[in-house]
Amino acid sequence: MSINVKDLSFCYNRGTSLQRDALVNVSFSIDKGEFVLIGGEVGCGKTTLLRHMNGLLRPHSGSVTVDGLDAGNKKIRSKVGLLLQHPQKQLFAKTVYEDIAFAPSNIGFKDNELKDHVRYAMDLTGIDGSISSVSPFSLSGGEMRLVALAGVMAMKPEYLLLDEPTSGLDPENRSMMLKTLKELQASGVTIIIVSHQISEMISFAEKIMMLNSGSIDFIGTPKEYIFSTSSSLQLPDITSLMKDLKTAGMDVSEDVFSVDDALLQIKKALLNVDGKRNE
Amino acid sequence: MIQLNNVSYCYNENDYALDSVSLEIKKGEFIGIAGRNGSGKSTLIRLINGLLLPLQGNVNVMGMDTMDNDSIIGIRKIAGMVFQDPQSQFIGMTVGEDVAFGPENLGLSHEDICGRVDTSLKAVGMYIYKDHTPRALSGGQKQKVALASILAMEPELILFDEATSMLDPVASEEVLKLIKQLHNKGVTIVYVTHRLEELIFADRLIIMDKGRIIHDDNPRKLLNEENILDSGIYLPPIIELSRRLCSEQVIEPIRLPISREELMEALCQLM
Repeated sequence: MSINVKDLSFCYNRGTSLQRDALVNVSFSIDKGEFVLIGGEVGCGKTTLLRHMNGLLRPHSGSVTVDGLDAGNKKIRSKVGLLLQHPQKQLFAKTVYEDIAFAPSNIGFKDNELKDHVRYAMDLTGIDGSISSVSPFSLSGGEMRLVALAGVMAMKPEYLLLDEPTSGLDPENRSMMLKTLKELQASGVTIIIVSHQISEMISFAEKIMMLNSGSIDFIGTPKEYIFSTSSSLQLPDITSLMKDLKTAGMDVSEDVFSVDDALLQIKKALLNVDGKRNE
Repeated sequence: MIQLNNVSYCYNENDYALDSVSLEIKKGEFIGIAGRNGSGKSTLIRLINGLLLPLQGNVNVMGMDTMDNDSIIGIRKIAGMVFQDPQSQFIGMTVGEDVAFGPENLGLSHEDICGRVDTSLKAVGMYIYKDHTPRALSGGQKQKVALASILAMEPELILFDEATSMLDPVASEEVLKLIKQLHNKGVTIVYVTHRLEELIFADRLIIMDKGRIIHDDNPRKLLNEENILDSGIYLPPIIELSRRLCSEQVIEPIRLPISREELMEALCQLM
């Protein structure tokens, strides 16, 4: 079970003088249950690629399949959920509950079955039941995003596509969002994130893919990514510092993502066990 | 250049987004403003160019009061603003037309307008998209075009509201470099962001919480304060690491390293 993309090409303004290639011969596969990051510079084709995976855009050549079905097949829409950029704009209902219930009620779920779907989504995203009857527009930006996410999760998708899920959120709300996504993955959902700021999410991912001008520039594990020579390498500042220190001759390892680990490594390299400086 | 005297503002009754704020900004200063979501940052800068009007107190830009109807055009000519989500500010059919809109309204000659459009689009690296429709651009490219539109107005003061939130690290760095160049040329900059690491070069760093200014100082001094975390801001990992290395006496706590380069230098001296 997986998403398979084979020789995918797509261009905007096709057939006009402004024709611009967005994706050129892109091939890769994503296994079920993976946490995948797709990064790259502004305008490199990330969002275009994501929109092919649930059939919102159709390839000009090549193919995209989800669990063996063509991504254009309507059956895959309930399998693959998509959270757009600025998902607050997807909210519209009078209450949080109605907003989350919209999609499942649309495809015919009623009464207890509908309630089950909504409760499932609220539990997964950690939304407190006490806000289910308030207006989604009275919530903070971070909470609104979680409600939009719950609205997508109420369809119980197996694959979740997210376009810039953390942009514009303050650091506190960003870590809340990432924690929630990690929990979704633990419950079996495949997470595919597109972001221009992947550095802070690297330690969450199993697979990292970097796009450059519509082509794959790198694909591999976070560890491979840190040691890669990809031209679009975006590392967390802490990891870059450790790499630089290592190059300068300090005895530290490079695959460090947290301040705690960095502090430990630097102290170990510079100080003796009793806290005295190495001579 | 800019003066706020006891300014208050609320969107909902009795819910103060800005609570008796007084602030003076001198000509040519680079002011960074940080604070958590909903702390009043965006409200503050919208009051400066008269997009919002104070409920109490007054806002003065180069001798002009924002409450004075006759002054508002004068203030807008001085103060350009770059928004977080520029989507809604596009009006032109092409990127070039969009950037030309501001200078056209200043009543400049055709040559001047064309010159300014080309220069500002080149400055943000979007010149090749001059004849494209802004709608087909990506989020980050739109933000660059929005910045070019403001540059073309050659304002004396630019207000940035999370102007790099949609940009990748490389593009953010380019835009920040451009902003620093503008600052060096004497343009006054007021820059709102979540990313404190973008503000370490500011002349003054202002931290807001619950509609008030709770810190206003030199960034290096401020980031070294014990109680800086009480304001609900998160420190960039490099600065957190620097502070902990200082507090554990691994590096001399005399001058806190506030960038990766500075921390690297401090640590290399110990090897």
